[in-house]
Amino acid sequence: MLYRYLTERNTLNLVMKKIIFIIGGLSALFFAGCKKELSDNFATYTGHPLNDTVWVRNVPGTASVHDLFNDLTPGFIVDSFNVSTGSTLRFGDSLEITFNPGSCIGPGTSGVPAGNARVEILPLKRKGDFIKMFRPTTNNQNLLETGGGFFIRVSKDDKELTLVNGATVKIKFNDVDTPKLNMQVFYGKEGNPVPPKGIDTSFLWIRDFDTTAIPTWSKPSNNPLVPSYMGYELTSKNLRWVAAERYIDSTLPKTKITAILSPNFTNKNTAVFAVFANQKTVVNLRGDYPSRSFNTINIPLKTAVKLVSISKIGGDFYLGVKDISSVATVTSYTIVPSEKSLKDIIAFLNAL
Amino acid sequence: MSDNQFDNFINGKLKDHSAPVPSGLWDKVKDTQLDHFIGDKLKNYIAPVPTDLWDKVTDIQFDNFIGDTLNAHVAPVPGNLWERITDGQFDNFVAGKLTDHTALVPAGLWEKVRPKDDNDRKGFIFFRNPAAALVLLALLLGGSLGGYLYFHSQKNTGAAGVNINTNPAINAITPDTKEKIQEHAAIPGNTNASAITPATPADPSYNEQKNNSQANQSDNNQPANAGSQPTTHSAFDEFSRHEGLSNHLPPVNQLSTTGNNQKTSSINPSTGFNLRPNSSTTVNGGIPVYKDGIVNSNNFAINNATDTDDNSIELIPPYQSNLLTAVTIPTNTARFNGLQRLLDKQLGTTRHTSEFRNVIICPSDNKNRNTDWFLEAYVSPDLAFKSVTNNTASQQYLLRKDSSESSQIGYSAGLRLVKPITDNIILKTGVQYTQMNQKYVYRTENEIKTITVVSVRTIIRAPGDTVIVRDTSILQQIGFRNNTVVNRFRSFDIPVTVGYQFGNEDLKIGINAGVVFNISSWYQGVILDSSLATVPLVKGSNSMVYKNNIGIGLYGGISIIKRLSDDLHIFAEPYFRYNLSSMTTPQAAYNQKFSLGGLSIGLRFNLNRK
Repeated sequence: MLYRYLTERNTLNLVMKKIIFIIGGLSALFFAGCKKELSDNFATYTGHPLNDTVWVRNVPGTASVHDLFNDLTPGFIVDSFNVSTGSTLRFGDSLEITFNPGSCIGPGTSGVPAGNARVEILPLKRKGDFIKMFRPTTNNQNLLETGGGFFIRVSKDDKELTLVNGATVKIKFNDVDTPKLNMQVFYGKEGNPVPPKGIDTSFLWIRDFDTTAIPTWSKPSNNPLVPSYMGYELTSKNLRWVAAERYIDSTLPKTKITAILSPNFTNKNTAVFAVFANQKTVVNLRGDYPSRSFNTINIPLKTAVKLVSISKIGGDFYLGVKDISSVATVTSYTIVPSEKSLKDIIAFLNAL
Repeated sequence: MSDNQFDNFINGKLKDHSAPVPSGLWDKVKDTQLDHFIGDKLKNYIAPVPTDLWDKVTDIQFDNFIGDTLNAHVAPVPGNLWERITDGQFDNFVAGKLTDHTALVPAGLWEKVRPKDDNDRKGFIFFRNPAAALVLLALLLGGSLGGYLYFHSQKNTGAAGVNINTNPAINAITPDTKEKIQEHAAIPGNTNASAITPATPADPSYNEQKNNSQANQSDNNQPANAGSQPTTHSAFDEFSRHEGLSNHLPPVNQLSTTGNNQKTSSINPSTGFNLRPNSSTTVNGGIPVYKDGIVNSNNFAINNATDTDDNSIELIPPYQSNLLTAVTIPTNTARFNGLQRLLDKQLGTTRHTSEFRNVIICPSDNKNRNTDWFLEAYVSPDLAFKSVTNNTASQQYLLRKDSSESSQIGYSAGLRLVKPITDNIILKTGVQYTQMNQKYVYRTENEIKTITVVSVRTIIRAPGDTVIVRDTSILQQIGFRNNTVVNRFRSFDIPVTVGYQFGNEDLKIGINAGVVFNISSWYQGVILDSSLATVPLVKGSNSMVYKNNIGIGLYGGISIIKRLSDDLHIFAEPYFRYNLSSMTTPQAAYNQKFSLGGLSIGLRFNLNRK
């Protein structure tokens, strides 16, 4: 009996082992059969802009960042006036431009052209306008606060006219913000030659020799349905880029801020700006090749700024925003751009 | 002139002469005188067996004759006979008798008998199957004890019977014995031809033979000496031989003749016992049925009454010098019960048969019925073989489809009920789930891959103020992706198969074939549309490409079944399934059909084991 019991027990164990082995094998087989097979074999496109993570020391004119600002450039306000008789062009209550008679001449010794001349105006009222036109409010490394600016181009027979020496053009425009005192006339110094399109990397604002403060004006309205207007009455001695600006008045220490982006965003396809929150100041952060980052200096500490990156990679636009409530002595700020449509980017810039 | 010449002259003259016996002559002659006369005349006579004589006598006839003659004969066991027979001799005797005996085992009988513990082959054989050993041992002991008590009681009570040592009658002659007789008679000058020489206790030759046999028996304590005898010669043969064959032959004077018709129809009992039981009755077809319940299948029986009209009896003139004085009893070749050989052991047929009835389980009428039910659970890795024919698709479409698709391992799982119709033929049916997998590779463009990278930058905050900045960011890459999607073709089916299996209890091999009825089919994955774009094929959608029922398939497989325990088997069955109809709708641009090959591996449970 004992032998039989032991034999049966051994046999039972043997059978159980067999069953467990078999069940294990079948289970493995079952799960192998049920394996969710979704493997992928990814291969990058050669030469695709998104795969180009290479920085350059000098951004070529063919870089996509130039295309970006071609796309962001708004349309001109176009009008005309008689050059001989002069004229005041009014664009609602926000802009009024007065050309004196015979104030414009053609190139060379052609004299004052007769007849109407074409006027193209680009107002720079908001901070986003300065970004769209890639005209940061800086003078070399000095930061400027602006009350607004304009690009005015007068042409006759597809030939651009300039002001006669001593002649001026009066620009009366309203400011979206409360006009500041001691605003001065600044002219935009462009590269030579002026690049036909894209970013003028040599552009900077240069103050007029006449540092007289620009007078302000206001048109208050007691009717709540009618807005009040206030602004500047700027007298310019030059056409093209002119603005009411002033050097920022800050006794706070200044610092260098650095923006770091994903390797996809290089100086070939991305522009980064620091937009001051409480004043109309826009600073461009230049691409730094050695550190593969964007940086600028002279940012006052404790200033509330917003870092904005705009990129164009291939046909896609990217917008990155980094809010800095108070600039500190941190080493860098990371911006994570996301793909946006051009329309969304423009809307964002218009709201700055 | 020599005596032989004179004898031959007389024989030649009187060979065919017949003269009537004067009335009362036989009465004047005493039996002993006749016996002595015959004995003296034929004592040393050697006569060859006539040609084809033994051929006319079949074994069954001879055995039946002896069996019927000694059917009711009971003889006491000589003193100390059983003591001289060792257990081994008796066992060998029984074993020898049953060596060639076969009996049909009812189907499933062995499954119902608890088998030996599988795989543990170690140990003495009785320990591997102690129940069978105990039964066998009990039978041997019971048989030995019963036989001893029975014969011992016969001896003590002085039951009427003829002492086997003194009775000249034949106790039993087996076919082997008969062959011996023929062999001896065919040898000229063989002095042991007493096998065909009648002898009486009064005959000196009888005593001599008796002494010789006793001496032989004493010299050889193992009648069934396996070392000196062919295996076909049983212990019973040896025992008969030692007892002296002459003792077992009927005396010549017990045979009555009816002249030259060479027919004999009766054997007259003259030595105190009846060769044939009077209690027999003959029923259907002349088959005698004995009152003891044993059915004798012989068509011929030795009757007390003379039946000269029975043409089945061949008579041999005993007094012709060139003829054998032996009794030839023709019988039919019908069933022969070898158990009657045990008559030499003074065991009654009924008694002996009843003992074996307890040992051998006779097959019932339902011997071919199999009451088992099995349940099979199995899984199978499958590989699908696709065949596509064009319907309205373009060549480019077919090329793209062919390059995009490749078969992958799928699987099936199911439950089957298995009903053995006989031991060999089985019927299976159940439910089965099948999933055929197909790898579909296609390329997608402008895929964005994001990679988390850690960039290290050296930033100069101010002259002399340089810091290392580690930044974790996401890098996006664009490219193309070779996507691999598994298309899954699923179905529920009912397989119905018939199989033939053979082998032993441990390992069986079967061949199965049948039909697979599809219940439902559905598909999931991607498919190439008419514009060569890859579009998803959502589960449950009303696809215009694939059917929801693919109809009937043919099934064939070969199974190998290994027993794990009494109720559990494991099996492996490579199979092939051929679907008869296409799985695509007539509106599809192509016709697609799948065949399936796989290897089912599973367990078989006995549901109705008793």
